[in-house]
Amino acid sequence: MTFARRITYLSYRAYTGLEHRLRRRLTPAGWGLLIGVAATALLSLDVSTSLAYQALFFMGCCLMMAALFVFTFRGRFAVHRLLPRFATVHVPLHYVARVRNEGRRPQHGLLLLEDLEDPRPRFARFVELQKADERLLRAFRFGRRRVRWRFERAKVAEGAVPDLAPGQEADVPLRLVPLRRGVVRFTGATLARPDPLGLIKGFARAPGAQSLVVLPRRYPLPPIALPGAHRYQRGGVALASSIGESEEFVSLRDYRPGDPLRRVHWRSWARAGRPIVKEYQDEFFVRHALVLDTFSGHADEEVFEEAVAVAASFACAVGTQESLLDLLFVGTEAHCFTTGRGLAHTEQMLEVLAVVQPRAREGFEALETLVINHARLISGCICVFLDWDAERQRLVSRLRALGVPLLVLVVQRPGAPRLDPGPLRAEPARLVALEAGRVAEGLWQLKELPAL
Amino acid sequence: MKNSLTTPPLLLAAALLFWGWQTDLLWLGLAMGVAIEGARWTNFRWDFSEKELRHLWDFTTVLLAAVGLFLFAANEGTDALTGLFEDASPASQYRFVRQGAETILQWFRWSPLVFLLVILAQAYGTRDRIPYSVFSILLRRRRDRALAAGAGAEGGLNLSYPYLAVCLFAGSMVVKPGPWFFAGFVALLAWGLWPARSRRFSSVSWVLTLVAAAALGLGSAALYQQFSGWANAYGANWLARFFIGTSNPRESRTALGQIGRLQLSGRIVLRLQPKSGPVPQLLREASYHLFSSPQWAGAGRVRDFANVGESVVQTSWDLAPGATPEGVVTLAQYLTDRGEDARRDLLALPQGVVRLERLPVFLMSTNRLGVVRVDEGPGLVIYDASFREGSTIDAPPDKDDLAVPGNERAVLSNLVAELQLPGKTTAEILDTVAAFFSRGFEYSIWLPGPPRGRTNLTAVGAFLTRHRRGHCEYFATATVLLLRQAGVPARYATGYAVQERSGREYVVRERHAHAWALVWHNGQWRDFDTTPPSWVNIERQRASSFEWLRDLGSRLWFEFNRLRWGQGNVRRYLFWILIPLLLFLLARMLLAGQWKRLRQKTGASATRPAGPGLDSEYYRLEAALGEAVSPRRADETAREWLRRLDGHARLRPLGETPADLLALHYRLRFDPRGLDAAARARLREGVNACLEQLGGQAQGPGSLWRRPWFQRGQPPG
Repeated sequence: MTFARRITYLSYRAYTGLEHRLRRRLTPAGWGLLIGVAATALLSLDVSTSLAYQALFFMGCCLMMAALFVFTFRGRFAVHRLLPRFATVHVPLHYVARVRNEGRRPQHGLLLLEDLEDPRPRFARFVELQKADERLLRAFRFGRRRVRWRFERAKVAEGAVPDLAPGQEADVPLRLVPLRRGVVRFTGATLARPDPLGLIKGFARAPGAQSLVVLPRRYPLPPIALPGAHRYQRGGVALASSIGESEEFVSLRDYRPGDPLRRVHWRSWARAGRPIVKEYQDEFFVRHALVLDTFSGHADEEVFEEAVAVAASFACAVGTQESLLDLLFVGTEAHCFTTGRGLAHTEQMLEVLAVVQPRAREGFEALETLVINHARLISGCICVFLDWDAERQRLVSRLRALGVPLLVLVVQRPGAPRLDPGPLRAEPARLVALEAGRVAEGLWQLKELPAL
Repeated sequence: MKNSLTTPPLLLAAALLFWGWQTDLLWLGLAMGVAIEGARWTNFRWDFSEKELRHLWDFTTVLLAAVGLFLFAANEGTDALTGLFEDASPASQYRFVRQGAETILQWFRWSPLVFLLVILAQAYGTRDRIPYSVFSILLRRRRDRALAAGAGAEGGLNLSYPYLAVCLFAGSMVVKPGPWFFAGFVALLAWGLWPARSRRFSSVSWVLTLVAAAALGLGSAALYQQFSGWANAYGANWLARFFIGTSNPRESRTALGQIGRLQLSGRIVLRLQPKSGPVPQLLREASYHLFSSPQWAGAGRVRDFANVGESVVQTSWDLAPGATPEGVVTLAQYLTDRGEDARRDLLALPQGVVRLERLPVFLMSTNRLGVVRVDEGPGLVIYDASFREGSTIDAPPDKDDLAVPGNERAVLSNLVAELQLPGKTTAEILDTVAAFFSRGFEYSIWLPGPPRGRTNLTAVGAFLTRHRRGHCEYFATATVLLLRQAGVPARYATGYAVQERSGREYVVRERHAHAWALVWHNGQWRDFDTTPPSWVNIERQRASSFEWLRDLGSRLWFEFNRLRWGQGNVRRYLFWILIPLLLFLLARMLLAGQWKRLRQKTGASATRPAGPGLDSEYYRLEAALGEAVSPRRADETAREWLRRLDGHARLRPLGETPADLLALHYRLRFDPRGLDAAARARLREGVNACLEQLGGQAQGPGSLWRRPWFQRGQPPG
């Protein structure tokens, strides 16, 4: 079985590798001729019925001559990109690559191609994906869309390089469309030179490794009345996310019987002649938790991406001027990331969300423990779930028992059955099912959500 | 004037001329080329909506399918296909493959005509690219999903180069000798590749590379042709083994003359309508006199044939001048296209044919065995044949008509002795032989295998002495040989038996193909059929249960061909009259859309632009500068761009004006208070002054060509 999978993997790599190379090597005219060769080859078997064979051999020889020129291109270049810090999935990004001719000959008529890291999965991950795919497969049943595997992180259109004298530098404007969340890594760049006929490109590689963080997609959210009341936060804003005994100093006042001795300000007592104590601010403010379910089991990648996008939308939309927002999820370990009131910026949370990876289906207890331990601090909780099974329902019922107001969003594949509210039976409006691919519409329905 | 063809000027016209020349549709190619390239010199533009383009594409797809079906039917593809189901022998498989290949080639040949509408929509439309979503519902769905997911605008396809490829491809689907195809193909492709050449190399190296590729291509194509000829010859021999192979006993035993391929299906090959006199029972197509098992030979070589009448166009052919006919029948027959330009076929005629009327063929010839061959006629002939019992165009017998192959002689002489034939008159011999075959012989299409063990028995010998069963060819061959052994001159004839009545006419199917003997008796050649009459019923049982369906199709096809070939030229061009009709319908559909949108637009023309300042004159300046110097890059702000252009020779006379105008534009665009009337006028006049200095020709968005052609003439914003 492993052998068969190994063969599948090898042929997958061979096919995608060939396609990738052809895409980079051939110009549009070259593609035209290649397709022409393929079409005429079929009809060239019988020379007595058509002259397609003559066309075939001419086009084939053009491609062959062009291929000979591939080996005659030499040059040394350095490339540096002027990149912004972030990009967003599917939002085209324009940037400039600065190319420097380090060779001794002037160069003109070149194209710049970006070299991105090979996005194809390794064998183990490939098998994992394949198995997940097979679980979804039902013989003779239509309607279930096969999971589309797309690993390509970004698409970069090739740019025309201006003429370069030796040692000269020039800017090449490029357009990049990020296709997936995460980090786009540039391993270098390739300077390409088409042959005289303009069919096939010869390459010279230039170093220039850089990277770019691609943030998840965000959806517009209607103004939502988030649940929750002010809660006492020990330690004040600055330390609202950490644990310790320090507290926010506000002022000094006279001693009142019952004040703890350790709050006495001895130096002021000495100056004023009467006992003076330090007074601390008791922090009360709204603090929300955004719980992201990462236990997708690798199969429902589309669903997981949508869940991340939903979480990102909330991270952006929840007003963090006056409140705090905690992002809770389980990656390689349990994470709690807090923003708001100057503690950290939304971009940082988006950056975290940009690199969240899905996990196997098992181990949901870790998230449950994390959320329950956090529950006493929070005044409301938004849960983005990938499923609505017994484990998740149990977490919801425990949170309800602790009196935490909830909004539960479940992202599903298209065509999934309606959800049974379960523990949210009392207020079914708090359970919202979102269909992957139509999340924006689903989120907009939150407008009608009654405030708690 | 906006041009949406990306190919170099006149290239598409040249390619269409090339196609027209290759496919003998030169004038059509010229007209199409003029229609397409004309877009470069006219202002006439349509603003096609995506929906209209989709309709156009759907129409093209339907047309493509219709042309495919038409060609499939025209190439008798349906017959080949049904033949494949009724009889899956290698012969019919081969026939089907050939028909299929021929259909596909013709289909490709027609393709520039089929795709004409879409390329016209590209040429006369206002879009640079036809969106991908126009071409398939799948892509449309994917586009919708991608848009929903927030992906950017979708791409499209400019059809100019694909159409060039279609023309070149269609042009190569014809076989014309000589180097002109190759030369034309190379020239057109070079023309098309010229704009895509690398600027890094000189034109000389481009030409040298191309010449090298052409020389190499020509050499290898010639080599390939040689090799292919050799492979085909070998392949044909190899394939031929299947036709006479052992996989199908019926066919292996019937490789006698032509009949091997005939006794197959229920396809209607002939229609016969009696006009006067008796109905002939047999229609003879060919006769043979030399037997060398398993082959009958004798006719078919060109030099054996002598022309009838003068070789000018005539429709009456006297085969036996002076004889008075006994009966007249009308016969309808398809003439097979035998490649090259020739339509050449043998006519199936009643015995004793005297005269043929209403037969529009160029040339008719007969040989001494009475075979009538016609050359250069229409695809379908419907003619009157008059005949008279006993009249004959066959030559009198000679020694070949008495020859018996040595290996058959032993069995036959035994049989002649057994039947006590020597010494009897010809009439008595015929009676005896007929009686012999009617006793103890039966008709069968299934035969036992060849004689087992060491035996000298031939197929005919085995038939006569052992199996005593076989199909008509065995009866005919055995009869001929037996009569010859008895001293009566005889020949072997193939053709059709007339036995199925259908209304007022008789239909003759492939299944009715028959073989019989011709006997020289009383100074005449007479039909002598010894096959038991039961063969008619046995063959009828082989009829497919879907034969009625096929007959219906055959009838329709026949009527269509009657129109096509029958009555002069007017009906022949009926097909071409349909095309303008279709175009008219299409134009009406599109025009309706145009008017609708025109009305909407005039109604809405008074509305304000969507955002403040979107009607700013500055855009025109930006477009003009972009065209004159360098366009603004997507990553540049307008100010950065102006700074980059600063100092360019064309900008120098303008001084600081563009920057000032930009400031005004920004105020118009983003200042909540906007521009007052005076400042607005300053912006307008400043832009106009700059444009005048730049040459004033360049037009920005919202300029002339973006609007539908009928709205032009209004001054821009």
